[in-house]
Amino acid sequence: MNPLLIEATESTPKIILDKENNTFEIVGKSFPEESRSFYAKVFEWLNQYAENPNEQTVFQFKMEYFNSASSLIILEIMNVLDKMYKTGKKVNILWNHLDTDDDMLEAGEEYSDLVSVPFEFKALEDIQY
Amino acid sequence: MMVKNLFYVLGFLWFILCTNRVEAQSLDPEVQNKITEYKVQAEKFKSENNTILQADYYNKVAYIYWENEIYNQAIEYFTQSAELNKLHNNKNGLKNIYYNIGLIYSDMADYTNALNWFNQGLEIARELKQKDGIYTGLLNKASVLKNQNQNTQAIENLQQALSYAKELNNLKLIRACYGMLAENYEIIGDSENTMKYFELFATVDKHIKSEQIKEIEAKSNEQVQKVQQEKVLTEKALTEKSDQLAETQETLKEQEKIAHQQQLELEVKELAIKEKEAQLRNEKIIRYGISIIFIVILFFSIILYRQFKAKKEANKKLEKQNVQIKIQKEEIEKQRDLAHQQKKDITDSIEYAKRIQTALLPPLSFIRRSLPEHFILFKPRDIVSGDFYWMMNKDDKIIIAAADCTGHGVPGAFMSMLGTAFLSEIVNKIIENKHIYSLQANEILNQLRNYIIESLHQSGAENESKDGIDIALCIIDPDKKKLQFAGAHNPLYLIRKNELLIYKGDRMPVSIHQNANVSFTNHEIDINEDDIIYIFSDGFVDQIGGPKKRKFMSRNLQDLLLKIHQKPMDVQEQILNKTFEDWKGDYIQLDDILVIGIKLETSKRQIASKETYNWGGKTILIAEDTEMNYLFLVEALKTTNVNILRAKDGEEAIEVFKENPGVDLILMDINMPKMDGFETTKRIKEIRKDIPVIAQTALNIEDARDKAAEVGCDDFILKPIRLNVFLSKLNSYLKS
Repeated sequence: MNPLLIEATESTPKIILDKENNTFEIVGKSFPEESRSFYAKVFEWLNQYAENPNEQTVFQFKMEYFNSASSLIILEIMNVLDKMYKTGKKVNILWNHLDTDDDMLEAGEEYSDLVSVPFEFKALEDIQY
Repeated sequence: MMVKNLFYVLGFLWFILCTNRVEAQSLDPEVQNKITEYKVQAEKFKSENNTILQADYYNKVAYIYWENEIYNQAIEYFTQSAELNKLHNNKNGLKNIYYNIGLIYSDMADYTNALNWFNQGLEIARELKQKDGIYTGLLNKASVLKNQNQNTQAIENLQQALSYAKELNNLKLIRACYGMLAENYEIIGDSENTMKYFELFATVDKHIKSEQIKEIEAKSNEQVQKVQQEKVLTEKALTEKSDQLAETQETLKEQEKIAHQQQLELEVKELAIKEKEAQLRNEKIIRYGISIIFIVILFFSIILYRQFKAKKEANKKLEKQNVQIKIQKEEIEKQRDLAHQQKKDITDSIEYAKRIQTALLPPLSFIRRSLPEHFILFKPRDIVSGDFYWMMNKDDKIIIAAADCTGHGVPGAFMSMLGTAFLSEIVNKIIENKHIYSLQANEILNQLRNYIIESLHQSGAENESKDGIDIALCIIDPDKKKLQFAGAHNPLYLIRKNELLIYKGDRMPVSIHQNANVSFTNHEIDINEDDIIYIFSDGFVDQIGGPKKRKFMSRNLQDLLLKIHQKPMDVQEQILNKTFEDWKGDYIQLDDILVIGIKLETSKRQIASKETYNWGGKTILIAEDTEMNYLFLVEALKTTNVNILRAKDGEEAIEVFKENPGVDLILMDINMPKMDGFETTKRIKEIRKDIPVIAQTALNIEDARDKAAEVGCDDFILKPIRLNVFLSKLNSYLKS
C-alpha cells in the first residue's frame, strides 16, 4: 500500500500515513478553505487501510490549531479508527499538545470521551514540521 | 412690432440697472443671471396681465434672495407676491408667504416681527381648517418663543402642535414636538418633564429608525434576487457562447481537412506531369532544348508563386486568428467586469445585512443602564459575524451571553440570528410559564439546544449539518448577590481579590451531539463586592501570531486579565484590543472575536451618586456643541448641585471662561465647530495654567489621549460616558 505524504502549508497540516513504516501522523495547523476536499484523500487512504491494518496502529495528532470545521473532520477520522478498534484491532491515539496549550489538551480529552479507542496524552515543548 | 419689442427690452434693461445695483457685488454671476431671468419673466407676465404667474416668479426671486441671505429684498418680493395673491383670494398661498416672511425675520433674529407674521399665517391656516398648516405655524412660533426665552409660551404652542401632529398621525412631526418640548422643559428646569419628553423622543426616534431598517431589509432582499437572476442569465449566455465556439472550431477543422486533401491531389497530379515531362525529355532532348530553358523558368515561377501563395495564406490565417483572439479577449474582459460588478453587488448586500445584524445586538445604552461598568470587545472577522452577544433584563435580574456559532461570515451570521431570536423567546416563555425566580442558566441552554436541533432537523445522521453554538451564559442577581453560569465549551472567568477562578463550560456544544440528552451544568456563585467576570468566544485565545506563529492560548489571556482587571473597564477593552492586534501582526484574523468584561456591583447604583457627591458652590464649564450630549451631561450632574455654564464651540468656551473667573473645571468636547477641543485647551491653559480640563471624545483612545495630554488636558473621558466613572473622576477634581 502506497504511503500518503502531504507537506504542511500555512493553513493545512503535514500528513504522514505510511503503513510500511507504521507511521500515522497529522501535524500542525488546520484551517483549509475547503476542509472536506482537503481531507478526502485522507479518508480514502484510511478506509482502504482499515480493510487490512497493521498488527498495531498508533495514530498521532500533533495539532497547534484547528478551526471548527476541522474539529468535525478530526472526529470523523477518529470514528474510522474507532471502527477498526471495535473489530478487535490494536489501535491507540497519541494526542500531543504544546505543554502551555491547555485548550488543546482539553480538546483531546473531549475527543477521548467520544470514542472508545484508548488515548494517551503527551505534552511537548515544541511542535516541529 | 420690432420697435415695440425694442422699447420693451430697453425699458427692462433700465429696470434691471435700477434694482440690481444693491446686490451686484455680493452675488455670484450665476445666481445673478437666474434672478435677472426670473425678473424678465415676471415683467413679461405682468405685461400680459397674467398676475398668477407674475406672483409665482416674484416668489422664485424672493427664494433666491433668501438663500443668499439678502433678507430685505426677499421680504420685498414676498410682499409684492402677497399683494397679487390677495387679488386672487389665494389664501393658501398667502399663508405660505406669511410663514416664509416670518422665517426670514427669524433668520434675521427679529423675533417680534417674526411672531407677528407667523400669527397672520396661523390665522389663515385656522380659517382654512388646515391641520398641517396650523402645526407648522405653531412649531414656527414655538421656536421663536424659545429664542425669546419665553419657554412657557413655547411649551403651550408645542402642546397644541403635538395634538395636531397626533391627529395627522405623522411620527416625524410628533418626534419634532417631543424633541423641542424636552429642550424647553430642560431650560425651565422641569426635569421630570424633560426626561419624559426626552424618552418619548427617543422611543419615537427608535421606532422611525426601525421602520427605516425594515425598508432597507426589503430592499436588500430584492437586490439579492436581482443579482441571482442576472447570474442565471449570464450563465446561460456563457453556455450558448461556448457552444458556438465549439461549433466554429469544428467547421474550421473540417475545412483544413478538405484543403489538405486538395493539396495531396495536386501533388499527385504534379508528379504525373513531371513523369510525362521526363519521358518527353528523353525522347526529344534536342528537339526541345530551348523548351527546357522555358520549363526551368516556368518551374521557378511555379515555386516562387507557390511560396508567395503560402505566405499569403499564412498571413490570412494569422489575421483570422488575431481577430479571434481579440474577440475572445473582449469576451473575457466582459466576463471579468461582470464578475467584478456581481462581487460588488453581493458585498453591498452583505453590508446591508450587517446593519440588520448590528440592529439586533442589544444597544450599548441599554446594557449600560443595567451594567454601568462593563466592556464588550467585538471584532467580527468578516463583514457579518458568527459571534454575537445577547442580553435581557427582567425584574433586576440580568441575563447576558457571549455566543460563538460554528463558522464565521454569512453562515455564522445566519446561525447568530437564530440564536438571538431563540434566546429571547426561551427566556420570555420560562418567565411567563413559571416565574423569574425559577430561571436557571442551564435550563436556558438545554432549551436552546432543543430549539436548534428541531429547527435544523438534526437527527445525528452522518451527512447532515452539525452546526451549533458554543456559549457562555450568566444570570446576574445583584439584589441577592447571586450569579448563575452555564457554558457550552466556553468558560467563565471570575477575578476576586487578585485571584482568577475558572468555571469550565460543559464539554458539548449547543447542537446535536453524543451527549445531547445530558443536561448542561448550572454553576451557582455568590457575588462579592468588586468581583469581575469575563465571558468570551475562543477567537481571542485561538488567534495565531507572535514570533513563533502560535496560538495566543488561554493561559496568556488569564495572566493578562489578572494584570489589568483593576483598571477601568474601557481601558481594559483598549488593552485587550491592542494586545490582540499586536499578537496578530500581519497574520490574518482567523475567527470572530468577542470578549465581555463586567464589574459586578451589589449595591444600587443610581442612589450612590446623589449621596456621595455634593458640589454646591462649584462651577463647571461644559464645552459641547451637540444638544443631546449636553442634555445628558446636565441630567447626569443634576443631583450634585453643581453650577453649570455652557459654550457651543471652542471660541465661545474661551470667551465664557474669560468672563467667569469662578470656573472650577472644564469638560471639553474634542470635536467642535470653529475651534476643536485640543486648540481650545491649549489657549485656555495659556490664560490659567491650573484650571483642570477633562477632555471627552469618542475618538480612538490611543491617539486622542496622547494628543490631549500634549495640549495640557488633565484627564480624559471616553464617550459614551459611564455615569459612575464620570462622577468619581469629576469628584477627584472638585472635592477639595
